[in-house]
Amino acid sequence: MSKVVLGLLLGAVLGAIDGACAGFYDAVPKDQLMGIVYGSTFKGLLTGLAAGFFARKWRSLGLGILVGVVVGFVLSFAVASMPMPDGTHFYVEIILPGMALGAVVGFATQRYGRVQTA
Amino acid sequence: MKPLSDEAVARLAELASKPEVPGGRYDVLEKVGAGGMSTVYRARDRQLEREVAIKVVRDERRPGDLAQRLRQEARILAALEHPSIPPVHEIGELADGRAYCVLRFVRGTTLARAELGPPNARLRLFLRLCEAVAYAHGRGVVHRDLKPDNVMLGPLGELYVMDWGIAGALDRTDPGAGGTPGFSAPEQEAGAGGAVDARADVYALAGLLAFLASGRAPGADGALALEDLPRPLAAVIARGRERDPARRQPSALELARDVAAFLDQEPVSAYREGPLERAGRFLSKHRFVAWLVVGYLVLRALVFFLYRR
Repeated sequence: MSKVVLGLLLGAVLGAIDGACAGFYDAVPKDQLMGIVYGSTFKGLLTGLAAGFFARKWRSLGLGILVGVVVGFVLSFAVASMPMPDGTHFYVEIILPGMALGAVVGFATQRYGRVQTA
Repeated sequence: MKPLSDEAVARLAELASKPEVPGGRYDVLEKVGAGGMSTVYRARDRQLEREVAIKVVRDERRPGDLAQRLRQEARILAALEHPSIPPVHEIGELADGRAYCVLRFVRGTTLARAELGPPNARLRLFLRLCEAVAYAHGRGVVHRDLKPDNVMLGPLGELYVMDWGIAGALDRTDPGAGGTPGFSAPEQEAGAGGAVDARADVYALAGLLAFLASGRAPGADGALALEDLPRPLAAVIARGRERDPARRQPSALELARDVAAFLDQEPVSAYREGPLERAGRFLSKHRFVAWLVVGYLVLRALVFFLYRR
Protein backbone atom coordinates (compact mmCIF):
# COMPACT_ATOMS: atom_id res chain seq x y z
CA MET A 1 0.00 0.00 0.00
CA SER A 2 1.43 3.38 -0.97
CA LYS A 3 1.81 6.18 1.55
CA VAL A 4 -0.85 8.27 -0.18
CA VAL A 5 -3.40 5.41 -0.18
CA LEU A 6 -2.59 4.66 3.47
CA GLY A 7 -3.12 8.33 4.34
CA LEU A 8 -6.42 8.43 2.43
CA LEU A 9 -7.71 5.22 4.04
CA LEU A 10 -6.72 6.08 7.60
CA GLY A 11 -7.91 9.70 7.20
CA ALA A 12 -11.28 8.55 5.85
CA VAL A 13 -11.84 5.97 8.61
CA LEU A 14 -10.83 8.29 11.45
CA GLY A 15 -12.74 11.18 9.84
CA ALA A 16 -15.89 9.08 9.62
CA ILE A 17 -15.52 8.05 13.30
CA ASP A 18 -14.92 11.70 14.17
CA GLY A 19 -18.08 12.76 12.36
CA ALA A 20 -20.18 9.96 13.85
CA CYS A 21 -19.15 11.12 17.34
CA ALA A 22 -21.18 14.28 16.71
CA GLY A 23 -24.26 12.11 17.22
CA PHE A 24 -23.46 11.96 20.92
CA TYR A 25 -23.89 15.72 21.33
CA ASP A 26 -27.41 16.81 22.16
CA ALA A 27 -26.77 20.24 20.63
CA VAL A 28 -26.19 18.72 17.19
CA PRO A 29 -29.42 18.42 15.16
CA LYS A 30 -29.96 14.75 14.20
CA ASP A 31 -31.03 15.64 10.66
CA GLN A 32 -27.57 17.15 10.09
CA LEU A 33 -25.65 14.12 11.33
CA MET A 34 -25.09 12.45 7.94
CA GLY A 35 -23.86 15.74 6.50
CA ILE A 36 -21.42 16.06 9.39
CA VAL A 37 -20.17 12.48 8.87
CA TYR A 38 -19.64 13.10 5.13
CA GLY A 39 -17.95 16.42 5.79
CA SER A 40 -15.72 14.97 8.48
CA THR A 41 -14.79 12.03 6.25
CA PHE A 42 -13.86 14.47 3.48
CA LYS A 43 -11.80 16.48 5.98
CA GLY A 44 -9.99 13.27 7.00
CA LEU A 45 -9.40 12.40 3.34
CA LEU A 46 -7.81 15.79 2.70
CA THR A 47 -5.60 15.51 5.78
CA GLY A 48 -4.57 11.97 4.78
CA LEU A 49 -3.84 13.08 1.22
CA ALA A 50 -1.65 15.94 2.41
CA ALA A 51 0.21 13.74 4.91
CA GLY A 52 0.62 10.97 2.32
CA PHE A 53 2.06 13.31 -0.31
CA PHE A 54 4.36 14.88 2.26
CA ALA A 55 5.59 11.43 3.37
CA ARG A 56 6.25 10.48 -0.23
CA LYS A 57 8.54 13.47 -0.68
CA TRP A 58 10.17 13.83 2.72
CA ARG A 59 11.19 11.27 5.32
CA SER A 60 10.93 12.93 8.71
CA LEU A 61 8.74 11.60 11.48
CA GLY A 62 8.60 14.91 13.34
CA LEU A 63 7.83 17.00 10.28
CA GLY A 64 5.31 14.42 9.06
CA ILE A 65 3.39 14.62 12.33
CA LEU A 66 3.65 18.42 12.31
CA VAL A 67 2.26 18.64 8.77
CA GLY A 68 -0.62 16.35 9.75
CA VAL A 69 -1.37 18.43 12.85
CA VAL A 70 -1.23 21.75 10.94
CA VAL A 71 -3.43 20.50 8.07
CA GLY A 72 -5.82 18.95 10.62
CA PHE A 73 -5.92 22.25 12.52
CA VAL A 74 -6.55 24.42 9.45
CA LEU A 75 -9.33 22.20 8.08
CA SER A 76 -10.95 21.71 11.51
CA PHE A 77 -10.75 25.43 12.24
CA ALA A 78 -12.49 26.16 8.93
CA VAL A 79 -15.26 23.70 9.84
CA ALA A 80 -15.55 24.89 13.46
CA SER A 81 -15.87 28.49 12.28
CA MET A 82 -19.22 27.61 10.76
CA PRO A 83 -21.81 28.09 13.51
CA MET A 84 -24.58 25.64 14.40
CA PRO A 85 -28.19 26.73 13.67
CA ASP A 86 -28.40 28.13 17.22
CA GLY A 87 -25.25 30.19 16.62
CA THR A 88 -22.91 28.16 18.85
CA HIS A 89 -19.44 26.98 17.79
CA PHE A 90 -17.76 23.64 18.57
CA TYR A 91 -14.16 24.82 18.40
CA VAL A 92 -12.52 22.45 20.89
CA GLU A 93 -14.75 19.49 20.02
CA ILE A 94 -13.84 19.75 16.33
CA ILE A 95 -10.30 21.16 16.32
CA LEU A 96 -8.72 18.88 18.97
CA PRO A 97 -9.79 15.58 17.35
CA GLY A 98 -8.96 17.03 13.92
CA MET A 99 -5.41 17.78 15.03
CA ALA A 100 -5.12 14.33 16.66
CA LEU A 101 -6.31 12.76 13.40
CA GLY A 102 -3.62 14.72 11.56
CA ALA A 103 -0.96 13.52 14.01
CA VAL A 104 -2.02 9.88 13.65
CA VAL A 105 -2.14 10.05 9.87
CA GLY A 106 1.14 11.99 9.73
CA PHE A 107 2.87 9.40 11.87
CA ALA A 108 1.41 6.41 10.03
CA THR A 109 2.31 7.71 6.57
CA GLN A 110 5.90 8.39 7.64
CA ARG A 111 6.34 5.05 9.34
CA TYR A 112 4.37 2.76 7.02
CA GLY A 113 3.40 2.51 3.39
CA ARG A 114 5.48 2.07 0.27
CA VAL A 115 7.21 4.86 -1.57
CA GLN A 116 6.23 4.42 -5.20
CA THR A 117 9.05 4.73 -7.65
CA ALA A 118 8.49 5.66 -11.27
CA MET B 1 65.26 -45.19 32.54
CA LYS B 2 62.04 -43.33 33.36
CA PRO B 3 59.02 -44.47 31.32
CA LEU B 4 57.13 -41.85 29.31
CA SER B 5 53.86 -40.60 30.77
CA ASP B 6 50.56 -41.15 28.93
CA GLU B 7 50.43 -37.44 28.18
CA ALA B 8 53.87 -37.48 26.63
CA VAL B 9 52.97 -40.53 24.55
CA ALA B 10 49.77 -38.84 23.36
CA ARG B 11 51.71 -35.71 22.48
CA LEU B 12 54.29 -37.71 20.53
CA ALA B 13 51.52 -39.58 18.71
CA GLU B 14 49.90 -36.28 17.77
CA LEU B 15 53.18 -34.90 16.49
CA ALA B 16 53.82 -38.06 14.50
CA SER B 17 50.36 -37.97 12.91
CA LYS B 18 50.67 -34.34 11.77
CA PRO B 19 50.62 -34.33 8.01
CA GLU B 20 53.62 -33.22 6.05
CA VAL B 21 52.40 -31.46 2.96
CA PRO B 22 54.92 -31.76 0.11
CA GLY B 23 56.59 -28.54 -0.97
CA GLY B 24 56.89 -27.12 2.52
CA ARG B 25 54.32 -24.41 1.87
CA TYR B 26 52.24 -25.14 4.96
CA ASP B 27 53.16 -25.24 8.64
CA VAL B 28 50.67 -27.53 10.32
CA LEU B 29 49.80 -25.92 13.66
CA GLU B 30 47.22 -28.07 15.39
CA LYS B 31 44.44 -30.57 14.93
CA VAL B 32 41.07 -28.80 15.06
CA GLY B 33 38.62 -31.58 14.29
CA ALA B 34 38.11 -35.14 13.22
CA GLY B 35 35.24 -36.96 11.59
CA GLY B 36 34.61 -40.46 10.29
CA MET B 37 36.25 -39.63 7.00
CA SER B 38 38.96 -37.10 7.70
CA THR B 39 40.96 -35.06 10.17
CA VAL B 40 41.19 -31.29 9.92
CA TYR B 41 44.27 -29.28 10.89
CA ARG B 42 44.84 -25.58 11.22
CA ALA B 43 47.91 -24.61 9.26
CA ARG B 44 49.82 -21.54 8.15
CA ASP B 45 50.34 -20.83 4.48
CA ARG B 46 53.90 -19.46 4.30
CA GLN B 47 53.54 -18.02 0.81
CA LEU B 48 50.36 -16.03 1.32
CA GLU B 49 50.82 -15.62 5.07
CA ARG B 50 47.36 -16.72 6.05
CA GLU B 51 45.76 -19.49 8.01
CA VAL B 52 44.22 -22.39 6.14
CA ALA B 53 42.52 -25.64 7.02
CA ILE B 54 44.04 -28.87 5.79
CA LYS B 55 41.71 -31.81 5.57
CA VAL B 56 43.44 -35.17 5.46
CA VAL B 57 41.70 -38.51 4.99
CA ARG B 58 41.94 -40.94 7.85
CA ASP B 59 43.99 -43.91 6.85
CA GLU B 60 42.54 -46.58 9.08
CA ARG B 61 39.81 -47.90 6.78
CA ARG B 62 39.33 -47.99 3.03
CA PRO B 63 41.85 -45.24 2.26
CA GLY B 64 41.09 -45.46 -1.46
CA ASP B 65 37.36 -44.79 -1.03
CA LEU B 66 37.95 -41.98 1.40
CA ALA B 67 40.53 -40.36 -0.85
CA GLN B 68 38.05 -40.55 -3.71
CA ARG B 69 35.41 -38.90 -1.52
CA LEU B 70 37.74 -36.14 -0.42
CA ARG B 71 38.65 -35.36 -4.02
CA GLN B 72 34.97 -35.35 -4.91
CA GLU B 73 34.26 -32.94 -2.05
CA ALA B 74 37.07 -30.68 -3.22
CA ARG B 75 35.74 -30.68 -6.79
CA ILE B 76 32.25 -29.86 -5.56
CA LEU B 77 33.55 -27.01 -3.40
CA ALA B 78 35.60 -25.71 -6.30
CA ALA B 79 32.41 -25.51 -8.37
CA LEU B 80 30.55 -23.59 -5.68
CA GLU B 81 31.52 -19.96 -5.33
CA HIS B 82 29.36 -18.52 -2.60
CA PRO B 83 30.18 -16.39 0.46
CA SER B 84 28.66 -19.06 2.71
CA ILE B 85 30.55 -21.98 1.20
CA PRO B 86 34.26 -22.14 2.13
CA PRO B 87 36.48 -22.24 -0.96
CA VAL B 88 39.03 -24.96 -1.65
CA HIS B 89 42.57 -23.84 -2.47
CA GLU B 90 44.40 -27.02 -3.36
CA ILE B 91 44.21 -30.81 -3.39
CA GLY B 92 47.02 -33.32 -3.38
CA GLU B 93 48.66 -36.32 -1.75
CA LEU B 94 50.85 -36.39 1.33
CA ALA B 95 54.19 -38.14 1.32
CA ASP B 96 52.53 -41.15 3.02
CA GLY B 97 49.94 -41.41 0.23
CA ARG B 98 46.97 -39.94 2.07
CA ALA B 99 44.86 -37.48 0.11
CA TYR B 100 44.45 -33.95 1.43
CA CYS B 101 42.80 -30.71 0.48
CA VAL B 102 43.49 -27.17 1.61
CA LEU B 103 40.51 -24.99 2.43
CA ARG B 104 39.74 -21.60 3.91
CA PHE B 105 40.15 -21.75 7.65
CA VAL B 106 36.78 -20.84 9.10
CA ARG B 107 36.84 -19.30 12.55
CA GLY B 108 33.82 -19.49 14.77
CA THR B 109 31.58 -22.07 16.24
CA THR B 110 29.04 -24.54 14.96
CA LEU B 111 25.35 -23.80 15.06
CA ALA B 112 25.00 -26.60 17.60
CA ARG B 113 27.15 -24.69 20.12
CA ALA B 114 26.57 -21.06 19.17
CA GLU B 115 24.62 -18.48 21.15
CA LEU B 116 21.81 -17.98 18.71
CA GLY B 117 20.09 -14.86 19.98
CA PRO B 118 16.39 -14.01 19.82
CA PRO B 119 13.93 -16.15 17.80
CA ASN B 120 13.61 -13.78 14.84
CA ALA B 121 17.40 -13.47 14.52
CA ARG B 122 17.59 -17.28 14.38
CA LEU B 123 15.02 -17.38 11.60
CA ARG B 124 16.90 -14.74 9.62
CA LEU B 125 20.01 -16.89 10.02
CA PHE B 126 18.02 -19.77 8.61
CA LEU B 127 17.11 -17.69 5.55
CA ARG B 128 20.81 -17.17 4.84
CA LEU B 129 21.42 -20.88 5.21
CA CYS B 130 18.63 -21.62 2.73
CA GLU B 131 20.17 -19.14 0.31
CA ALA B 132 23.50 -20.98 0.33
CA VAL B 133 21.86 -24.39 -0.02
CA ALA B 134 19.60 -23.14 -2.82
CA TYR B 135 22.69 -21.81 -4.60
CA ALA B 136 24.27 -25.27 -4.41
CA HIS B 137 21.05 -26.83 -5.72
CA GLY B 138 21.14 -24.35 -8.58
CA ARG B 139 24.62 -25.67 -9.41
CA GLY B 140 23.30 -29.24 -9.34
CA VAL B 141 24.68 -30.23 -5.91
CA VAL B 142 22.82 -31.71 -2.93
CA HIS B 143 24.60 -31.47 0.45
CA ARG B 144 22.88 -34.51 2.04
CA ASP B 145 24.26 -33.95 5.53
CA LEU B 146 22.87 -30.62 6.73
CA LYS B 147 22.80 -30.44 10.52
CA PRO B 148 23.79 -27.95 13.24
CA ASP B 149 27.31 -29.41 13.44
CA ASN B 150 27.86 -28.69 9.76
CA VAL B 151 26.93 -25.02 9.87
CA MET B 152 29.52 -22.60 11.24
CA LEU B 153 28.95 -19.10 12.52
CA GLY B 154 31.84 -16.65 12.31
CA PRO B 155 32.58 -13.96 14.89
CA LEU B 156 30.97 -11.28 12.73
CA GLY B 157 27.89 -13.36 12.03
CA GLU B 158 29.21 -14.96 8.84
CA LEU B 159 27.56 -18.27 8.08
CA TYR B 160 29.30 -21.21 6.40
CA VAL B 161 27.89 -24.49 5.22
CA MET B 162 30.61 -27.03 5.97
CA ASP B 163 31.41 -30.66 5.31
CA TRP B 164 30.36 -31.40 1.77
CA GLY B 165 31.90 -34.87 2.12
CA ILE B 166 28.82 -36.83 1.08
CA ALA B 167 27.40 -34.17 -1.23
CA GLY B 168 26.48 -35.39 -4.65
CA ALA B 169 24.84 -34.56 -7.91
CA LEU B 170 21.09 -33.93 -8.01
CA ASP B 171 18.81 -36.85 -8.87
CA ARG B 172 21.52 -39.44 -8.39
CA THR B 173 20.19 -42.74 -7.09
CA ASP B 174 22.55 -43.50 -4.26
CA PRO B 175 21.13 -45.85 -1.67
CA GLY B 176 22.72 -45.54 1.71
CA ALA B 177 24.03 -42.09 0.95
CA GLY B 178 24.70 -41.58 4.61
CA GLY B 179 23.76 -38.47 6.53
CA THR B 180 22.82 -38.04 10.16
CA PRO B 181 19.85 -39.79 11.80
CA GLY B 182 17.19 -37.25 12.63
CA PHE B 183 18.29 -34.87 9.90
CA SER B 184 18.79 -36.98 6.78
CA ALA B 185 15.73 -37.65 4.64
CA PRO B 186 14.06 -41.08 4.56
CA GLU B 187 14.99 -41.52 0.90
CA GLN B 188 18.67 -41.35 1.92
CA GLU B 189 18.36 -44.46 4.05
CA ALA B 190 20.03 -47.62 2.81
CA GLY B 191 17.70 -49.58 0.59
CA ALA B 192 15.31 -46.71 -0.02
CA GLY B 193 16.21 -46.87 -3.68
CA GLY B 194 14.85 -43.49 -4.69
CA ALA B 195 16.70 -40.60 -6.25
CA VAL B 196 18.02 -38.10 -3.74
CA ASP B 197 17.29 -34.60 -4.91
CA ALA B 198 17.02 -31.10 -3.47
CA ARG B 199 14.04 -32.16 -1.39
CA ALA B 200 16.33 -34.33 0.75
CA ASP B 201 18.09 -31.13 1.78
CA VAL B 202 14.68 -29.49 2.33
CA TYR B 203 13.95 -32.28 4.85
CA ALA B 204 17.23 -31.61 6.67
CA LEU B 205 16.69 -27.84 6.48
CA ALA B 206 13.27 -28.27 8.09
CA GLY B 207 15.02 -30.20 10.90
CA LEU B 208 17.48 -27.33 11.25
CA LEU B 209 14.59 -24.88 11.29
CA ALA B 210 13.00 -26.85 14.13
CA PHE B 211 16.32 -26.76 15.97
CA LEU B 212 16.70 -23.00 15.47
CA ALA B 213 13.09 -22.24 16.38
CA SER B 214 12.74 -24.51 19.40
CA GLY B 215 16.34 -25.07 20.48
CA ARG B 216 15.77 -28.83 20.27
CA ALA B 217 17.21 -30.99 17.52
CA PRO B 218 15.06 -33.71 15.95
CA GLY B 219 15.34 -37.11 17.63
CA ALA B 220 17.23 -39.90 15.89
CA ASP B 221 13.85 -41.21 14.69
CA GLY B 222 13.06 -37.80 13.21
CA ALA B 223 10.57 -36.85 15.95
CA LEU B 224 10.16 -33.12 16.52
CA ALA B 225 8.91 -31.06 19.45
CA LEU B 226 6.84 -28.35 17.81
CA GLU B 227 4.17 -27.78 20.49
CA ASP B 228 5.60 -24.49 21.72
CA LEU B 229 6.01 -22.96 18.28
CA PRO B 230 3.51 -20.67 16.55
CA ARG B 231 1.18 -22.79 14.41
CA PRO B 232 2.19 -21.37 11.02
CA LEU B 233 5.88 -21.97 11.74
CA ALA B 234 5.16 -25.49 13.03
CA ALA B 235 3.19 -26.15 9.81
CA VAL B 236 6.12 -24.96 7.67
CA ILE B 237 8.44 -27.35 9.53
CA ALA B 238 5.96 -30.22 9.39
CA ARG B 239 5.58 -29.81 5.62
CA GLY B 240 9.34 -29.85 5.15
CA ARG B 241 9.55 -33.04 7.22
CA GLU B 242 7.00 -35.04 5.21
CA ARG B 243 8.24 -38.55 4.49
CA ASP B 244 7.04 -38.28 0.90
CA PRO B 245 9.36 -35.84 -0.91
CA ALA B 246 6.48 -34.79 -3.18
CA ARG B 247 4.62 -33.34 -0.20
CA ARG B 248 7.53 -31.18 0.98
CA GLN B 249 8.36 -27.67 -0.18
CA PRO B 250 9.85 -28.27 -3.62
CA SER B 251 12.99 -26.25 -2.96
CA ALA B 252 15.07 -24.56 -0.27
CA LEU B 253 13.97 -21.20 -1.67
CA GLU B 254 10.32 -22.16 -1.31
CA LEU B 255 10.97 -23.14 2.32
CA ALA B 256 12.81 -19.84 2.86
CA ARG B 257 9.90 -17.95 1.29
CA ASP B 258 7.53 -19.42 3.86
CA VAL B 259 9.85 -18.54 6.73
CA ALA B 260 10.30 -15.01 5.37
CA ALA B 261 6.52 -14.69 5.13
CA PHE B 262 6.22 -15.83 8.74
CA LEU B 263 8.80 -13.25 9.80
CA ASP B 264 6.90 -10.53 7.92
CA GLN B 265 3.66 -11.69 9.56
CA GLU B 266 2.26 -12.66 6.17
CA PRO B 267 0.32 -15.88 5.51
CA VAL B 268 2.47 -18.96 4.85
CA SER B 269 1.66 -21.49 2.15
CA ALA B 270 1.88 -24.44 4.56
CA TYR B 271 -0.87 -23.22 6.87
CA ARG B 272 -4.47 -22.21 6.28
CA GLU B 273 -5.47 -19.73 8.95
CA GLY B 274 -8.96 -19.02 10.25
CA PRO B 275 -10.61 -15.57 10.19
CA LEU B 276 -9.74 -14.90 13.83
CA GLU B 277 -6.11 -15.85 13.30
CA ARG B 278 -6.01 -13.65 10.20
CA ALA B 279 -7.44 -10.71 12.17
CA GLY B 280 -4.97 -11.35 15.00
CA ARG B 281 -2.05 -11.46 12.58
CA PHE B 282 -3.24 -8.24 10.91
CA LEU B 283 -3.51 -6.45 14.25
CA SER B 284 -0.18 -7.82 15.38
CA LYS B 285 1.49 -6.70 12.15
CA HIS B 286 -0.04 -3.23 12.34
CA ARG B 287 -0.15 -3.01 16.11
CA PHE B 288 1.40 0.42 16.24
CA VAL B 289 -1.23 1.91 13.93
CA ALA B 290 -3.89 -0.01 15.89
CA TRP B 291 -2.61 1.55 19.12
CA LEU B 292 -2.63 4.97 17.49
CA VAL B 293 -6.26 4.50 16.45
CA VAL B 294 -7.12 3.36 19.98
CA GLY B 295 -5.30 6.44 21.33
CA TYR B 296 -7.26 8.62 18.96
CA LEU B 297 -10.56 7.08 20.09
CA VAL B 298 -9.62 7.59 23.75
CA LEU B 299 -8.87 11.25 23.01
CA ARG B 300 -12.17 11.54 21.16
CA ALA B 301 -14.00 10.10 24.17
CA LEU B 302 -12.15 12.49 26.54
CA VAL B 303 -13.13 15.50 24.44
CA PHE B 304 -16.70 14.25 24.42
CA PHE B 305 -16.91 13.88 28.19
CA LEU B 306 -15.00 17.06 29.02
CA TYR B 307 -16.88 19.31 26.58
CA ARG B 308 -20.27 17.68 26.69
CA ARG B 309 -23.17 20.00 25.83
